[in-house]
Amino acid sequence: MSIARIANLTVRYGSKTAVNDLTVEIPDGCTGLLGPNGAGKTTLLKTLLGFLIPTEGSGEVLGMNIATQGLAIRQRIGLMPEMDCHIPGMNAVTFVALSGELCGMPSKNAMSRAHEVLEYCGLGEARYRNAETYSTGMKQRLKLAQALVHGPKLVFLDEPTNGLDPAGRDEMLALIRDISHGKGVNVIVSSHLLPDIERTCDGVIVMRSGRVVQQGTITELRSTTEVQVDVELREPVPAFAQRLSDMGARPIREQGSSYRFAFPATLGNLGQAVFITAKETGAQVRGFRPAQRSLEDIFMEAIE
Amino acid sequence: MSLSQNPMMNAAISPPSNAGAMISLERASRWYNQVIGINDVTCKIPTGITALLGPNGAGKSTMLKLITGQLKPTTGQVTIFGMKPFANPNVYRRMGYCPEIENNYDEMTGRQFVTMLGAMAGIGRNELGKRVNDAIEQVGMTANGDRKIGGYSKGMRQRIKVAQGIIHRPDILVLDEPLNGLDPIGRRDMMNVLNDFASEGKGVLISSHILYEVEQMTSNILLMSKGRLLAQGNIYQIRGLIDKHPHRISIETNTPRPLASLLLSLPFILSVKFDRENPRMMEIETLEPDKFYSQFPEIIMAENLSVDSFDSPDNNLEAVFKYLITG
Amino acid sequence: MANQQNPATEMGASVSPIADLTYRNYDGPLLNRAARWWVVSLAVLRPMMKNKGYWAMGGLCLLIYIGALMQLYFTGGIQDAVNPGQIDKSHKYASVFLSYFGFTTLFLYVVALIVGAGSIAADNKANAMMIYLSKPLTKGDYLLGKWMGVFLGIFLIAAAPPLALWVYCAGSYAGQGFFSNEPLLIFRVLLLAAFVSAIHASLIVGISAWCKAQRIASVIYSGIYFILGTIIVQVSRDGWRPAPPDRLVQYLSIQGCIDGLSKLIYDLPTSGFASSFQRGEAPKMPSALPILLIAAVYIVIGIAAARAKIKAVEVVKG
Repeated sequence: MSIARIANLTVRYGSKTAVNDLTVEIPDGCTGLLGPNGAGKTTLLKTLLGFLIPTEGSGEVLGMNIATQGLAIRQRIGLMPEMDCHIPGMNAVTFVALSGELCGMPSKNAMSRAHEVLEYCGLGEARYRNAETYSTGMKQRLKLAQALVHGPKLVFLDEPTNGLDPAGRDEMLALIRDISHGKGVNVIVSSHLLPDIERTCDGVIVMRSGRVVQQGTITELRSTTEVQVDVELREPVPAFAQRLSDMGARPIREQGSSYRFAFPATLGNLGQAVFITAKETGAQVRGFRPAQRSLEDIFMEAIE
Repeated sequence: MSLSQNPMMNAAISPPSNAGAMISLERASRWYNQVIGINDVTCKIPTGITALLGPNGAGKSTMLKLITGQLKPTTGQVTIFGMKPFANPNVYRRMGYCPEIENNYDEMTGRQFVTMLGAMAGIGRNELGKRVNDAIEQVGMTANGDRKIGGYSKGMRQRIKVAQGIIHRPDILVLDEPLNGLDPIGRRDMMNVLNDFASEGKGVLISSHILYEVEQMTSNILLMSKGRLLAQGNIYQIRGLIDKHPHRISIETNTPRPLASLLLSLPFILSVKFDRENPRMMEIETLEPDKFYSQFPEIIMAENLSVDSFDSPDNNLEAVFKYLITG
Repeated sequence: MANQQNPATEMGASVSPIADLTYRNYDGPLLNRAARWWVVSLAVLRPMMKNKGYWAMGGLCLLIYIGALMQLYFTGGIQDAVNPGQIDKSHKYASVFLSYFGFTTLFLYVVALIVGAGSIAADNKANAMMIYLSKPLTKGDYLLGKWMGVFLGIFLIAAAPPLALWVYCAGSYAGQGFFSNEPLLIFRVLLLAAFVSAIHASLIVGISAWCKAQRIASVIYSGIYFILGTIIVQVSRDGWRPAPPDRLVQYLSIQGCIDGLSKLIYDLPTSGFASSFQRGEAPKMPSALPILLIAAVYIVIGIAAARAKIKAVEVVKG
């Protein structure tokens, strides 16, 4: 089942073409939208929100036409914009409640729902404070809360972890993972931080110059064609890598103390081979697992 | 074990090599009236890339401001090339700084902006043009140097900021969140620029939130927490010290039960737990991971068992830091 | 759904005895979209109700009409106290209202600044447009909401004090032909308040939309208001004497236009005070159409300016 479908979409700003003949189907669940700056991600989001009238092509979100049913679409989706934003001059609960009222919720329902959503987003007592006094992390949570207040079926998150410290990022990602799995909310995340996408999303769409250049589920995209193994050592041991490649393994990458090798089938039991080599070279194996292509590899491959 | 007994600081006091130390802090503290920015920090920052890490409010910005001479330490000392940096042009001449804030020179071209700051740095008129070209080329902005900054992407803005920081050929470059907001390509390019700069035997100090990026750039870190320096030095060394605490390792194998009973007979294994969903997976907990890691291959080889994968979910910088910071 | 896996089967209940207090969907009632702009208006009005400056201005306006009340009280109703012989009896009280309205125009301009200068400028600064327009809300809903909020804010102060005076007159002078001679007076009061509020609201919202800070919008509106006002007064005056009421140039500025509207609506060529200084022939009424046209132009310019600036997407230059 798909939550959004775009066919031959072209969007121009004046003479500049932002999205060119784009055809894409976004599946339900949590989808990552990737691409370098200027790839058309934001334009795609805005088109899906019904803000832009496409120059050519058509599309639908949750079964509604993007060109004519913008309001109905926005009734059922939430947007967490990239930039800092809030409605000024009020505290966070009032702001989130107002966001709910703007979606048509009666003010009493909006207020109780605002408390509920802010609590869920981890804003606790800070919700009685004015958003102007918030830290970056709190602003991000607040933006998420206002996007969720009206119970949307689809949420767009634009760079949701921007500016967060590691703990804040973890919590934000856990929230995104939670709403998109088992809570009946579909999520589209646009982010430059690929590990974030890896941790939250089921599928990805990679865009470049206004076109989709790669799409699929993360599991599918990450599988490798040959047998590759990641070996993590306690500390870098060049002899270990040398020895393994002498045995016929092909080194693919080396980063700090972790190594990736492609193994020919002839090498037999991989675990044994790695352990023996480690023992001979005095390396301590800290981890050992079948390699997956990282999202970064997939991304770089797709856009180059 | 509480942090005060944590051996981390001992490791910190003897970083691998002090020979190339360019920046050194000696019991430096800085208060803002009653609010503490950094508290009693002693460290040496060598050449090469050093990453300054820590949660929000840990004192990273204060630290950078002390190092770049924008603030004076309340107590203690900060020295750079043996000089005190506060309001000291002799230090500024040898240091480049890229603040996190966006500049507002949107109407200037990148080249004009770099030229202006180069002139301010006191580069002579006849040499300025060439220096600007060099700096812009070094950050890979030659093609876009003559466009207005207002039309730049975030990555281009960051790079032009770096160009402005290296125009006077400093020996140290200090950058506040240089990778923030960059797309993966911009990030990779920026890392290359910084690596190139550092490979000339110069110092680079960056602050960052994104640990996996840092992992790709350097293994030399400073970790701040609540105004104090929590750990410094080589990531692997720090990781080694953390091994003294309970450690989880998950193992995937065809023969989970026989392997489990073997492992349970080892004295340093605290627990073995089977995964609820995947019967081939189990997770063990040990207090002495070092022993486990060195004996595990022996067991596997001796009993001729096969292991499909094993690794520790705690075995990355992110987990290490979470552990250190939350205690 | 998270808690459907393990229902308390023996009870026959379909829900788990442990509630899931994390995120849940909202499936409560939703109001009709037609009322959506009103939510925006309320968001303008709510903080205003807590603004001390706003109520201070309201107090000053009220004080001015209390002055009128005192005048009427001590002179025992309108009688012939104000300007004997010059005004026919169908406009006696109107002349009082017109005179005292003139004293409040400056305060109404300040109220416009307080209520309206930040209306959209603050949203621009906080990027609130992105929030508003990502909701099921059109640009028109947003603008109407903002405009109406500002309008009502000014209208309250423009209308309530003269209404209070009117209520006093109605109570005290009904026997002296207050109702029979001037039955339309209350409508004149409300109509003038509405016109003044509409002009201020449109212009200040229009300017606010183009600014990123309340202060900037205030400065720009003040600049236009006073500089244009001074120029027009200079251009239209007769040497050292003020322009006669039928000279239309004087109604081109914002306060000129408001002044003209007040004359039209109360159907008097000059205020009671001014006329007592006037000698010679009786002043002529200015013609209505040009003044109405000027007012309409101000309102349209303001709204059009705001409309041009409000966008859901900022088009990237390139």
